[in-house]
Amino acid sequence: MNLQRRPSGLGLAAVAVVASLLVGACSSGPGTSPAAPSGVGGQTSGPSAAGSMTDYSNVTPSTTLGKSDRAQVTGAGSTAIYPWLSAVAQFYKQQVASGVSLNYQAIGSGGGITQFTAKTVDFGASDVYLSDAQEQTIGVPVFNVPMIHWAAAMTYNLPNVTGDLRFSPGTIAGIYLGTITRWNDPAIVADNPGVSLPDLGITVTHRSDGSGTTYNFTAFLSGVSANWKSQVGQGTSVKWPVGAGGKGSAGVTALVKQTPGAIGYVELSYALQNNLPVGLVRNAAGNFIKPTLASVTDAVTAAIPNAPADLRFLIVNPPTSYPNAYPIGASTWVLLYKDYPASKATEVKAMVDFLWWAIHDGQNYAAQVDYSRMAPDLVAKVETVLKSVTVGGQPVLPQQ
Amino acid sequence: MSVVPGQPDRIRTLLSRHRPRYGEPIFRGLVGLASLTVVALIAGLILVIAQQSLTGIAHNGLAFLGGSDWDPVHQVFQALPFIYGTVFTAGTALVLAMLIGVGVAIFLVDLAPAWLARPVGLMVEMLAAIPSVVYGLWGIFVLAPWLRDFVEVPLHDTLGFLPFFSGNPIGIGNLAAVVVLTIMVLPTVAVVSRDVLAAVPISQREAALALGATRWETIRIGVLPYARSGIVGAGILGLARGVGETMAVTMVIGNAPVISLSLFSQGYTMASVIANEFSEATTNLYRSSLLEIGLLLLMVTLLINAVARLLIWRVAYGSTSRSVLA
Amino acid sequence: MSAPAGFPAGPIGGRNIRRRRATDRLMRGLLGLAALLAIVPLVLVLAFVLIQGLPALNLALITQSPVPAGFPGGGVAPAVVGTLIMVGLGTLIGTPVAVLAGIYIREYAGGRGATAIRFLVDVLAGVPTITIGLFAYGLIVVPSGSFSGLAGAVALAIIIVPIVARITDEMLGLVPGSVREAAYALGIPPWRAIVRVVLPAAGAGIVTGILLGVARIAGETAPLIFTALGNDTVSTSLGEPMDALPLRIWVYASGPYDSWHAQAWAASLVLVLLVLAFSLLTRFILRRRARSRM
Repeated sequence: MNLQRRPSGLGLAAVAVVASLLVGACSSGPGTSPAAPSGVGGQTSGPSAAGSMTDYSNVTPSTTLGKSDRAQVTGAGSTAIYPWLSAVAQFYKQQVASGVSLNYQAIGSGGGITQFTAKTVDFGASDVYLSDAQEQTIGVPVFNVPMIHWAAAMTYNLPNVTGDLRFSPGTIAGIYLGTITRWNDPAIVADNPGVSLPDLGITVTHRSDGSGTTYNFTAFLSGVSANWKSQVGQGTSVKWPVGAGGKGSAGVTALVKQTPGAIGYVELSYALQNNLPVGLVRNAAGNFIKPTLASVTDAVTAAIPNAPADLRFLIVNPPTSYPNAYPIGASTWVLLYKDYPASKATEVKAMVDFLWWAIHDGQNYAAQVDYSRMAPDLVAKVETVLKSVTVGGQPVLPQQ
Repeated sequence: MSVVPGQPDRIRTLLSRHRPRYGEPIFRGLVGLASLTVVALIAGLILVIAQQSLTGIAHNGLAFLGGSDWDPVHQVFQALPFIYGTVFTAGTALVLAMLIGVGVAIFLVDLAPAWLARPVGLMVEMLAAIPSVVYGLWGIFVLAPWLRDFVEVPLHDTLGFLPFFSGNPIGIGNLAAVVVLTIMVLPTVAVVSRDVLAAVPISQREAALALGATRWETIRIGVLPYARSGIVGAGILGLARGVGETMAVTMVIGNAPVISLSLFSQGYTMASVIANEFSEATTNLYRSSLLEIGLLLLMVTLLINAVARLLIWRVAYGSTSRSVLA
Repeated sequence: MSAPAGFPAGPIGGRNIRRRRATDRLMRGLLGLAALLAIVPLVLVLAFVLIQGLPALNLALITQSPVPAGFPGGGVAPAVVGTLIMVGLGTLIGTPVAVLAGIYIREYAGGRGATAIRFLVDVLAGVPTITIGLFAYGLIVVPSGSFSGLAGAVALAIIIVPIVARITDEMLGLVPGSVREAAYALGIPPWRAIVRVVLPAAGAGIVTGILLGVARIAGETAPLIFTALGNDTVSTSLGEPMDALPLRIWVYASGPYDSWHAQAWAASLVLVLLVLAFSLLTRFILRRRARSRM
């Protein structure tokens, strides 16, 4: 069971999550409860704030959607958010509304935007907010709703190298531009004094589908490398100079896992859950930073003061004033229409109620699956947005 | 077994029933309509896909076929890497499949005793029954690592100076795609060739044997020339299958739009790029360009299929139904 | 008939009978080797599917829904249900059209017409299934505004049509002309003769053709990617996205989690057993019928 081989705290938390999944209730905090099922009672009790600072359970609004209602909410998009979202949806179904199923297809952020634009889903999820042009194409008012923050981790497969490798931005750009092709290249050696690196070819891996992880990663590279900016640029799918493509975060992780000498960028939990090493990346302040909840939270904190009212902002390349911020952080947005047709009333009620739960109680599970929770300032802003979603012109949530 | 349910009383019942005068035209219309549906499906396929790819055709122009940039960020869509990948993998696989498949067919028709020919033939047909995605699964976890450790690394270490064996041998790539495709194309080639060879008149063989030919000489001189166009047809039919194959290839080829001679390089095919990118193409032009690839794929396979069937029918009329089944 | 095609003008082979015999032995050996080479992949694939699939094959696999990514347990129930529904519906839509078209080709179209339609049916059978997925996307998903089990079923229906049509055609051809003539002689109109006499005589063959078609579409992935999309929960609504075994195998095989891989193998085992059983049954019956004609 690979989950249990993770660092102890997180490992125990994961076991706790598993246990709670199995018994259909959540009565376990990290490191406190045994993994054994503790009975099937307490179906309606809120989560005990596992790994959290604040318990938001009390602010969950009551809606008319009871446990007996049946609704299937269809969403598609970001694969980075999938581990967290699928876990939260499962808990929501078990603890709050057993009749509500979330069908979330992790087809990539590009796919999320496309299907949201084509109106084939109830919501999209993307690791990059909609551009003005994209919003224009959709033709109706939409919301970009931040849900969670996470790190794009540099993961690699080097069988005989122990300890975490360090990467300067220039090295990463060189590897992905195809100018650095072997693991014992002087640039990598310079980043990692004292580490003996093998004379092994680097197999670059990247996403083959439209991806917000790719967007944030290429935005990071465009910010640090003029060559990258002029030759490749940033986007959900770019013209890769080198490398093999994997479908989704899962596909890239699988490629790295199966290929000695491979390097890839994936959402952090994919690397950790698969026992892959995660590299440290140098930030603007010159420090090599490990992607952790704290270092991503720092990047979020750096970005929030300048975040516009429509909540469209990136958290890559934080300024030097945040010396411990990880430089390739990212956020996932849920994409919502401002107004849904009345025929969708049941689904939309279920969806908005679920999302409300996800930005409050759901944040408590973030740490267990290696995501960073939203800053409280941001949660308040998101609440306002969710309250302005309407069905047939009528607000879904109680306005006060 | 009696295929004639000829009980007199049943026929009497049939006769005694009231017979509506319009039964015949109605039934005829119904079955005619059903066949028209088949024709309409082909026309509809072409029309729907063509209509949706117009935006792409207008924007991409001829560079679509000749250029090698596939760059969604800058809205440049040129399909040469996918066309190349398809031709390279399907073509190589076809050569291998022809060598083995025609061999199997000759073995089954002219050499093997019946007790052996039947199970072997059945097993070859079963190759075609296994779903593509299962080949892909097997390709990822069994074939690719095996190829990497026992084929690619040794080749790379000894013959790495040749362009075919350059680059990083990682298992996932053109070679894995070629091997999987060979396995998938093989039954088509073998089964159709077998039918074609079986349709060669006995007199051809008898004449050769009567002239003192050995078994192989009989096959080479009496059988193969007669069956040539049918075997070529079988090959072309196999090509169509290889060109259109999607899942297994997508899972093992590495999905990178590069044009490389190397068997170790990653590649991309027309069908794979559609499978990977269609549901996530972020702009109209992007989606339309993928549909343009779909249109090209459709037209090419239609053409290949048509040619193949015409060739085969010259030798063994109607026998392509076996390839539909296989 | 004149001299057989392809024969050389002179005597066959060279003078050296020993060399000719050696060549003969070598070539026969190579041909046998080819047959062996063709069988090896089948054995290998089946062996691995069996070995890797059996340990993860249990009741939970087909009765439970997927759990969040990376967690142990769960199953592929939505995929089992989805495959049953879409394959069933696809067969239900496609088969009547196919059987009627087969009847037209064999009984009504006549010489040139029959050749032409037969040709088109064969060509349709050769169309890459991914383009049929594109077609169904444009036809159903875009207008209806949702990925759906219905779109998946329609794509599968289009794929089954040429298979069943061609088998119906062949099976009707195996019914002796004397049967039709006997019916006509009694004054029965052709359509009644076909429906009441010819079709029942070919019935078993046509049914096996349908089974074969079912086996074929049950394993299709490409046409479902942008029609059915996939679903993590059991859904029986045709208007909503639906899961399918091949789709699930694709997703799980491409992912990094060990539990996904185990379930992909087990799901493959289920799929392969289903497909092979149908295919073998079909061939067994087809062969018996083909022989009974003589």
